[in-house]
Amino acid sequence: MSDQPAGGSKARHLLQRSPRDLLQRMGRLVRKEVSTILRDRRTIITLVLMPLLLYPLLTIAFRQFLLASSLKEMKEPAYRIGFRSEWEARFFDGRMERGKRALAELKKWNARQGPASGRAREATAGNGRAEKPLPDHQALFPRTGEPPSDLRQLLQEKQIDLAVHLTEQDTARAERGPDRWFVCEILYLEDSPRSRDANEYVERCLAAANERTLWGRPKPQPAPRQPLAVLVSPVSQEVAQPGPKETIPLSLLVPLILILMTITGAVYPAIDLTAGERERGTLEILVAAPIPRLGLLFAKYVSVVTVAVLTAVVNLATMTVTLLVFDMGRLVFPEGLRPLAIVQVFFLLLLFAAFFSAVLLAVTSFARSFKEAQAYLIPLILVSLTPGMLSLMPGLKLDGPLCVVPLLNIVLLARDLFAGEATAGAAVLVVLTTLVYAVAAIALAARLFGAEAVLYNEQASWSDLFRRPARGRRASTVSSALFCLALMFPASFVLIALIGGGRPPGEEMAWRVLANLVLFGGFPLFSVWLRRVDFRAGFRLERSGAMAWGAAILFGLSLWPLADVLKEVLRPLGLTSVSEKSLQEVEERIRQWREELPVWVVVLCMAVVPAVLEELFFRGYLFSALRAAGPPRTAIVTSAIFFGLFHLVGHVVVVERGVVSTLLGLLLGWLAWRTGSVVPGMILHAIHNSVLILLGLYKRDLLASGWLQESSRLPPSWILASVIGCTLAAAWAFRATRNYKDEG
Amino acid sequence: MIQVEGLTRRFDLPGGGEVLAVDAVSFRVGTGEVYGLLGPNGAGKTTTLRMLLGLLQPTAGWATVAGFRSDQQPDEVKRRVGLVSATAGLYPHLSVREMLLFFADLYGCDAGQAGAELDKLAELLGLDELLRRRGTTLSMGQKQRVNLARALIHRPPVLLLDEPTLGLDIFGSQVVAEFITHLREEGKAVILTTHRLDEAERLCDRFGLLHRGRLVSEGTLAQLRAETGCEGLVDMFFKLARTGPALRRATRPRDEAATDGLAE
Repeated sequence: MSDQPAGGSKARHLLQRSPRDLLQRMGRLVRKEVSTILRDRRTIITLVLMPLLLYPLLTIAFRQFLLASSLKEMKEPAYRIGFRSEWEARFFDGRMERGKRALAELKKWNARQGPASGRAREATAGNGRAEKPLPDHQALFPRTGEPPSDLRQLLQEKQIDLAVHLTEQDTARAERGPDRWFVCEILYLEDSPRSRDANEYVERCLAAANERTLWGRPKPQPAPRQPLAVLVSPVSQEVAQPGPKETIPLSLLVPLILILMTITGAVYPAIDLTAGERERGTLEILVAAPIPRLGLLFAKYVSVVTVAVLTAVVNLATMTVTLLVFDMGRLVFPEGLRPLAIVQVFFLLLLFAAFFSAVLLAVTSFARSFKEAQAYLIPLILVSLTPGMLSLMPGLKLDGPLCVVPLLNIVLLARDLFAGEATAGAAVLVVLTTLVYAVAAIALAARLFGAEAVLYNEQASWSDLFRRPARGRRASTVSSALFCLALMFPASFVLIALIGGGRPPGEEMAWRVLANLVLFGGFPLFSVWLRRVDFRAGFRLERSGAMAWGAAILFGLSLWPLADVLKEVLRPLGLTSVSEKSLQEVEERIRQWREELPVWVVVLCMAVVPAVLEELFFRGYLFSALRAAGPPRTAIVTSAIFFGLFHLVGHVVVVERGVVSTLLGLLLGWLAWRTGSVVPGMILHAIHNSVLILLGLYKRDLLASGWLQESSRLPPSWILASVIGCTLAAAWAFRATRNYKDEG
Repeated sequence: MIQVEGLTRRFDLPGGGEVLAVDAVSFRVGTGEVYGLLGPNGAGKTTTLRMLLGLLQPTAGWATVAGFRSDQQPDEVKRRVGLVSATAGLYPHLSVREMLLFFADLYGCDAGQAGAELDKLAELLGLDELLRRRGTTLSMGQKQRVNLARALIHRPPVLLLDEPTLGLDIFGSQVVAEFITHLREEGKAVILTTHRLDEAERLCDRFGLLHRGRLVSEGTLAQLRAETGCEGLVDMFFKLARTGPALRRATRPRDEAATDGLAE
């Protein structure tokens, strides 16, 4: 027997195979994990049986609730319609009678034609309610002399189902048109199904009346238009119920149920693939195989996400089918059940599954047994329910800090998507935030899953995670850095909210400096201390030589016109998101700073301190962690993307700032790599920031002296000077670092 | 084939302090040799095997398998080692065939080669009737036979058998004993850890006696008999444990308690 393992040739082995082979092997590992999970009846119960039972039961319960709540309304079969005057009521009655006759005739005509006459059927159908006898209506109008706004009040008090106001339009200039043309303004209550039904009924009758007016009688095929008589065009408008709503809107409950079901789907596989394997004794033989531990975790992660997404798909499909079968789409969602919204919510659930699966794996990786994992997950799920329940509060708007609260932000965004009210900025923010959380949760799971203490030490405890290691290290781990980032991201929103607007300039400066110190100084410093990372190496506070400083200074002075040009390039592409109003507010703020504070204080607080601290974090702490784990290009690009991300989102999403900062991050990363130090980047960044702040502070003086022009574009001479400056700086940096030694 | 030099491992204890689970252990195992690593609970047997396989990082010292250091090239080591332990389980929802082929794939065997090896092992270990059955339906002895096949499916030159007969009846133990004999004939290097000293006496070529993390004695049965003047391994072990350096130092009941269940 040879000492060579199976196959004899080393080329056959896993680590010597191509990345494609490795990927295929990982794919087979995922397939095995998923197939074992899907063979378990517990998964089938969560995946198939629960949605199949839940949504029909919920729908039946909701219909019963609706039936009970609208019983009182149902006792009044006639729709109560309010008018401003008796004349309007009589005129409207006439049109409605005409419309009702037309619809009745059309129904008879349809019956003679058989089922094939689709268009005619549509005209009478009105959401499938055509078979019911046409309801009656009752005209009401306020006492003479009362203001017309009372109609709205009567509607909100549910004393009437609709408020109608007719306005005659000028038809004199129309060459071919009706003799008289009225616009019929209809107000209905958005939360009342009866009011919405009444609106639909009136619109249908008026449309039929118009058709009869135009074509003599309603016909399924269009006929040549003839100038005739009277037309009434209905214009419907929703009226909101004043004050707090008494019931939880279903449009909010549905996304929450979907998300809770997705969580339920992910819980069992997460436990089984980690703690379950440990308990069964299969984890040890799995880690004894020549597969990278991170690869194993990745396979488990993909498997959990797959099952979670399958659960989401089954739930979404069952919910859609149930709502369609029971014709409840418009009752649950104001805009009805739109296919686009379903697709969007699916992607949102996918994102949520990616995030929550990582959280579940991180928690269950620590458990030694199935029971222990369940004990950990119960509090986690209860904690997760809190933001979910908060999202049910009526009137909650998805903006500001709410965009970064995990789960709450997803539920609110799903609600807005179903309602067709989602804004692009909030959606981007929610997606980015959730992605950052997902990455951090994966990083934490990787750290836990690979920990010896978790795999072998029966006496491990949660405190082991936070115990300082006995031996120090030169750079932080990527998982620690990503976890740090994930904590910093929501913290930045809290700090921005704390700083707020409207503070006196001096106070604002102090808050900003403090926020920067906490965010970019405090978090990484704590992490470096906790993991016993060498301070100097971990922050890359190495000497770089004065030559590199010179290049950094030249870059710092030369870059700003190029940044300006880039913003101009982004503008026609529609990638700018700052309004003129916001720019004016910023200029006003800068004017206040100049009036009330010494210039050096503004430059120090707004330019130098943020630059130094941001460099300390992005090109120091984060870069060294990334560099210790991978090639320079990964460290440069990844740190630049996170740098851009932090500048992209604030109170609002500022796309151009994100793009410019990412590109600046690439340059700063390259400089940090070439010089082996964070210091030249600090100089470059501080000077670049200072130039921008000084330009803002002295903008009026520069305009007055002719150095700058009123138009937003910079003179070509400035841009040329900038290009020359940057080229010289790049050449200088190359020369200054020609003997650089890559520390990786 | 296997070389262990000064292998040491300390574990941090919750609440501070640390325990020495393996203390400067050194030994070698050649091809076609069965080495018995013997000792009571908490002696450091499993920790030594885990370090040898690259699953745990040693605090000091090193171990190599076929010239690859386990702390520096753990994947090269893992590829050359088959592990059987008493606690190893089976996937409840995979058939025996699926599980064995899955592990062959993990170790980089191509499908044809894995299938041929599976047939050979099924015949050797009497698994033919079990291949279609799922893990949950097997008895303890049948599970252990599947585990033996799983450890051999990638044809490793080294086998680590950690208490392979624990909980098995006499027939199950006999299968394992015959299997070990077969491994020796195949020229594999085998490390066997067990509490059953009679079994070890019958199966192993050389022995290493571990006590409280230290290798208190090592050699063939004849060498150990000459060293201790005792006939059987049981008597030898008691004598060495009483007179060995580890016992003389062992006045730390806390460490002993902490080591139990930690290293094993």
